[in-house]
Amino acid sequence: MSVVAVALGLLGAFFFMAGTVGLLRLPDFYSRAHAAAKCDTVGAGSILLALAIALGPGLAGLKLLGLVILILIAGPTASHALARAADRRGIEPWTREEG
Amino acid sequence: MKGRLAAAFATGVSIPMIAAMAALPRHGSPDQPIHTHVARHYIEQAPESANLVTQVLLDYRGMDTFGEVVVIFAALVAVLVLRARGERPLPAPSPSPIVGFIVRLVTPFFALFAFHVILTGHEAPGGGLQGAAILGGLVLMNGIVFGPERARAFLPTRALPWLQGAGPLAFLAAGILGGITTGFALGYPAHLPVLHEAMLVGVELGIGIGGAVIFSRLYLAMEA
Amino acid sequence: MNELFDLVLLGLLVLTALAVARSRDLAGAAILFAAYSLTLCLLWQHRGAPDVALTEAAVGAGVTTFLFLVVIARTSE
Repeated sequence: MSVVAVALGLLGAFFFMAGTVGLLRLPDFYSRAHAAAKCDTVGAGSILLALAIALGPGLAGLKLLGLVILILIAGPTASHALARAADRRGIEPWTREEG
Repeated sequence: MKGRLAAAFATGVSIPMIAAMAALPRHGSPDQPIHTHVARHYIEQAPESANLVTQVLLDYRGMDTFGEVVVIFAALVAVLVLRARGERPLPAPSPSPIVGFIVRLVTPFFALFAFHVILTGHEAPGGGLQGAAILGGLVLMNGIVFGPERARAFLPTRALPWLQGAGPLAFLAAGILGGITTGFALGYPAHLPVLHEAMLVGVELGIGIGGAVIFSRLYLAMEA
Repeated sequence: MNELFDLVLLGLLVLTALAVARSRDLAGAAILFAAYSLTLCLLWQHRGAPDVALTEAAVGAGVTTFLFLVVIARTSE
């Protein structure tokens, strides 16, 4: 039980770390939004899941599961809306040739 | 020069404040001044099984909360006066089908949660203003995604003048009712548990729905 | 440990406040202000004031950000 929770928590921390590095290092808006979306969905999602498992069955765990579902819905939608808005503004994706 | 002056001023103000913070009694210690004067009286006088935060907000400090509700109402009045004219048609946004679907999907859950926060507000964290902000945020979200017309559709046209004053009106009703039953304006009759509960819920509902309508109208006034 | 968490949150609060003040971009400042509100909300909750925390989250981070963004969009055309 707690092993699974710790593993999920570490996974979430890893995705937060990777997402933050990506946000700082990647070259253009779209790839950065892509990295940030990993933090929101996988990172926060698995940390909340880890907390729900650590708490065990009960109302608090159920509420956390509800939050996981909400985050799995809201995160990708927000990233999609961001990328779509950027595309409409005419922001060009980065390509290797021009730099 | 100006920046340095501002920085020196900020430092000069904040160092005495931080020093005063260090002299304060430890957080949560029972001999803090706030715990030895009126707080004790409030706790002793509150009816059993009452939520103290609600007791203070709606009862002991009911006048203050009434004032806050009136201030929010006054904000709407001011914005409506400033923006009374000058409606210009806006191009309807073309929402992404994904965003549109998700907003439609979460709207009922959002509303359910807002009413949960409003209705349980008198005995749990939450309450009228918090629920109002969630409900108003729901209307604003729909307005931003689908255009102001969709947000306007959430507000009942006929009852609107009454609904946007629901907060002050609910407080007025509770004040009069409390005056009749207890002899004090904004008193809550602890000896009549059903009426007591109904008054608390009524005031929270008034603040909640009135506040949500005010938030929505603030948004619509700026969009139009 | 508890005090340390408070101190980290307080530091973050000051940093976000400075970032709002220094931001040249209005929309960015509005988003940073939402981050400030969320930090303050965590601090309230951790200090044992869930009522205030909920207000901060709903009003400060929610409706206020929406209204700021709408006003910025309306005035910067």
